[in-house]
Amino acid sequence: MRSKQWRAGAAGLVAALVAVVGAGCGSGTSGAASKGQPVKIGLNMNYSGPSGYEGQSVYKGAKLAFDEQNAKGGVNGHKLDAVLADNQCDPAVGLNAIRNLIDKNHVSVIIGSNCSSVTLAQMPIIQQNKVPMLAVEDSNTDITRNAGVGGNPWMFRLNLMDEAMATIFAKNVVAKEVKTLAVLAVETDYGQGVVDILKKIPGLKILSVDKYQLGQSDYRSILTRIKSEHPDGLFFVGDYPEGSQVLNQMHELGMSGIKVYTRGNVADPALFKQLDDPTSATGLKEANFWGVGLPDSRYLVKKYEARYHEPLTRPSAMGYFGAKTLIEAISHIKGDVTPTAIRDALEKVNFNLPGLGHVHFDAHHQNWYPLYVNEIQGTKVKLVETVPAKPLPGL
Amino acid sequence: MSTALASPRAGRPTHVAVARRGAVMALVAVLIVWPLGAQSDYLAGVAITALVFMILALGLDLVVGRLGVLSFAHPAFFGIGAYTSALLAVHAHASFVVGFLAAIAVPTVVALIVAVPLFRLSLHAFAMGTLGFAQIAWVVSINWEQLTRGLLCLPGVPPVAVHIGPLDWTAVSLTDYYYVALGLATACFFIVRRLGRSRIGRTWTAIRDDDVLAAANGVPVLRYQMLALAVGAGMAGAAGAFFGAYSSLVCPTNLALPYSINLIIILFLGGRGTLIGPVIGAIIFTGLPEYLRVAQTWQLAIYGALIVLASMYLPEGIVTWATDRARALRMRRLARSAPR
Amino acid sequence: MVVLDQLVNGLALGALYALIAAGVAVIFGVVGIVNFAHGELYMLGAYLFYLAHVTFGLPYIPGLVVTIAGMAAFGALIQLVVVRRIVHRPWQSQLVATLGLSILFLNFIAVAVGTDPRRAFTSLTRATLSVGSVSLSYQRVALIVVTLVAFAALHQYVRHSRMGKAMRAVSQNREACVTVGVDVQHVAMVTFAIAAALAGLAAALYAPLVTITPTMGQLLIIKAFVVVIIGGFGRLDATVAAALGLGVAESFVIQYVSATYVDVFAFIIMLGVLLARPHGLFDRRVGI
Repeated sequence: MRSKQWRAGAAGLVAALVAVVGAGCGSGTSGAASKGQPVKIGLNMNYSGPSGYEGQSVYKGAKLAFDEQNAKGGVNGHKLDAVLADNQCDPAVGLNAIRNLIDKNHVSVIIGSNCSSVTLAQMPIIQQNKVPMLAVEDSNTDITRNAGVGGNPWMFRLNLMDEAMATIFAKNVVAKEVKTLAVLAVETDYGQGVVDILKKIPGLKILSVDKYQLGQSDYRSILTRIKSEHPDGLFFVGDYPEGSQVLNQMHELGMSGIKVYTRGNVADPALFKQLDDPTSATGLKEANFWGVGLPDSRYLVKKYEARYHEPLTRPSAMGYFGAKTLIEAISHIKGDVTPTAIRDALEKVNFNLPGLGHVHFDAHHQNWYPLYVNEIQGTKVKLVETVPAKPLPGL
Repeated sequence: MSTALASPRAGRPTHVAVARRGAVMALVAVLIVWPLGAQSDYLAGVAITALVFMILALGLDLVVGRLGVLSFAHPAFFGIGAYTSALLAVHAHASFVVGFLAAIAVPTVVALIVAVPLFRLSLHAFAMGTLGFAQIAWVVSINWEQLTRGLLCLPGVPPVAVHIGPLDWTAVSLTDYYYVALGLATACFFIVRRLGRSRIGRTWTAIRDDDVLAAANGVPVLRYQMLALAVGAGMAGAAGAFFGAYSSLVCPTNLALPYSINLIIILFLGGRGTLIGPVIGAIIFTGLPEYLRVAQTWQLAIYGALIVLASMYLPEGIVTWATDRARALRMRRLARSAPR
Repeated sequence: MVVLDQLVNGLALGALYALIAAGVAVIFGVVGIVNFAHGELYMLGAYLFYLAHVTFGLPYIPGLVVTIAGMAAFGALIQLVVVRRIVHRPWQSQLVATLGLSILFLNFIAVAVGTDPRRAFTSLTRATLSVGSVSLSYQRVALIVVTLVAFAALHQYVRHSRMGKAMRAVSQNREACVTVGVDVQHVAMVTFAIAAALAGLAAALYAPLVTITPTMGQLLIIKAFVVVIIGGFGRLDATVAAALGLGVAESFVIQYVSATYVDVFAFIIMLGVLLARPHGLFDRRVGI
């Protein structure tokens, strides 16, 4: 009896070992594309969940650029193959998503993740696996602090970061127009970072800070309280779905005298559909790292609308710009397109991207270009001020 | 009641026992050896996630399966454990072992404290009470920014490392983490198995079936309930300490409600009250979404539909359904081979 | 006056809570199931209203009627297809079934229709009423008034109509009803239809005031559970009272304490009620 059991067990063990070792053989290439082969690009997006429309927009923008390029024959004969992985804006899911891209799909470069906390969790992994990642929407300053000479040479960021934007906007625009400010920020990593910065601006008194849940739609009680504090201005941190609600309800409660400042992305063409009175947002000023009103952007607005039948928004534009940056970098690579080659090429990138501005990464792999201040006039978003952004001291 | 006849093991022929033993050994071998052969970080990551869910499911099952009450509080214990060990490591430079032990102790104490008022409530009220506790824990983890850095998360959690006496080892590769997770999951598995077969387990079953009768028979019901909640909380805390070291950061999202719901689904569809149920459930429900990445857009809708169908047609869970089927098959075979 | 402003805000919020929580309460009382998918019924109602009022251009009142009728039919359908099969199963299976429905509805809409937020304006949302310092849109006035009227009607129905009495009887003692020959399944179907209709009404009244997204029901269902618990597990009138009370209380917490902790506040109240009076704030009476 005993020996039968042990024999069966041993047979099982051997079978298992054979199966496992067999499965291990041929685990694939390391993400390099030699002559004629397609370059795999990972799109690490928050595709589902409350912020899903952001990831979907970035994806669409990037796809537009890739498909455009592929129609021209790719980059130096390499077609561009986009692979999507959903990180659900959750760091735990993001870890598996990025391993799916690197390990299973053997991508050579990644665009993502759009959620700062997810990106921060993924940065050690791209460093370990030596695959470059380009952030196009993430806002947290720590990403830049730790990138490039900050320790992680594989991380790059295309968009301006929080600290720069909020500081420049608050100092140069907000503080010149109002003395007291009420703050209403979204309860995510995005909202929290901006509040910390605003509190440090001299000459600006913060009367109250309120947080709201992503997806919340009724702000009347909060706004009633803010109204009773009589602030000069309201600083809103969030996107246009919630922003439109705040504007509608401010209008309903008779708060139209309060100046509204937003950090992005509220002054967006998609905003006006959501407003009860499309002109009620007049006077809103927003700091953004993309100039929707720029004459240079018109080509992109037309192209995007023609393909997707919806207006171009900031995330979709950033997705497009991110893809174009990668295309520019890859076009300079001689020889095989490997992750390392892409990283080196990104470090040397230096070109003008119509609609965004000049693209060139500094020692911290951060791109610097002017801050755009947009103002809503009637039902149009107009660019009113361009503030040059310089690398902050200590960074 | 004679246990011999009532036991499902009675009447099982030897060759089945042999095959069973062989299968178990093969499974154990595969579990230990496959990372070395497969060399895939992605698969290792998914396996680690499945193992963590397994530990959480096994712990939650003590309350939900054995005691028969519904609890949403488990991710809160997981989060408390994760933050405890992370904070100790980052601010007090404590070693992983110290943090790990603290991560077991703190949730256990919290569980013992909240158990007293909660277990006085009726079934539905208890469930809502645990939900309230979980929501409060979540909101605190987001808003107590001085402690937890809120939604910016707590980064820089050092890796799993053991420096005791002559042993000096730090986890480096994903395979290392997999073995640690496997070890933890195995330990939890055996703890739950041991408890289930002991007098404590039988008492839990008695309480689940009729707590009034149990109390009338002199059973200190509350103490046994507290024990179930506390052991589950300790295991969740241990899993939290591991997960923090593995991800190198701890976020409030770890305590969010969707995790409660995932765990409940794992238990109810895997098969609660059984030992294998949480294990299979965790594997399927971690593997399934990853597998469904292929059908990225419809993934979650399909998942929801499957859950509804399973609850309608497999009410006791997959494992119970499978064992019932196996038993029915065996009975039929026995009946056919019986002398006329 | 700020107090008056917040009182109005609170009543409007409470009206919404009441419509959703009443559906949950009545299903729990009569059928014995905790419907985790109720928030999604509200969400589906909102999309149905959008379809009727915006896509097909129906005026407001017909759009509202279509939404209520459509949701009532859908509620009955759910009872017929899913609930009948799980009503004899243990509560755990019922729980998972409704959870699964919630996930299915939410994600189906998210994929089929898209997650882009939509708006369904009515002429009432744009017109504001100003009484003294209080300024609110006519839509919100409608929300409060219609809700109160609806509940008065429901109260009469449950007390005096034949089906209403049957519902109460089943909620008090199911077995006895079966013995006496009441068609319990039919009563359950009507209950689901009524609960879904309430959710549809909530959607038609409230959706014009907010954006319509697939996740709009998720934050609400938890509040609905809290209200049902405070009101005493299935008692209709108590649930409505508790809902209005919670809405007003939350508005005052936002005014005088903090908006960040307002969700936790609801739970603290609930836990307090459970600890002090495990059967809910109102007296211990069985049935709706």
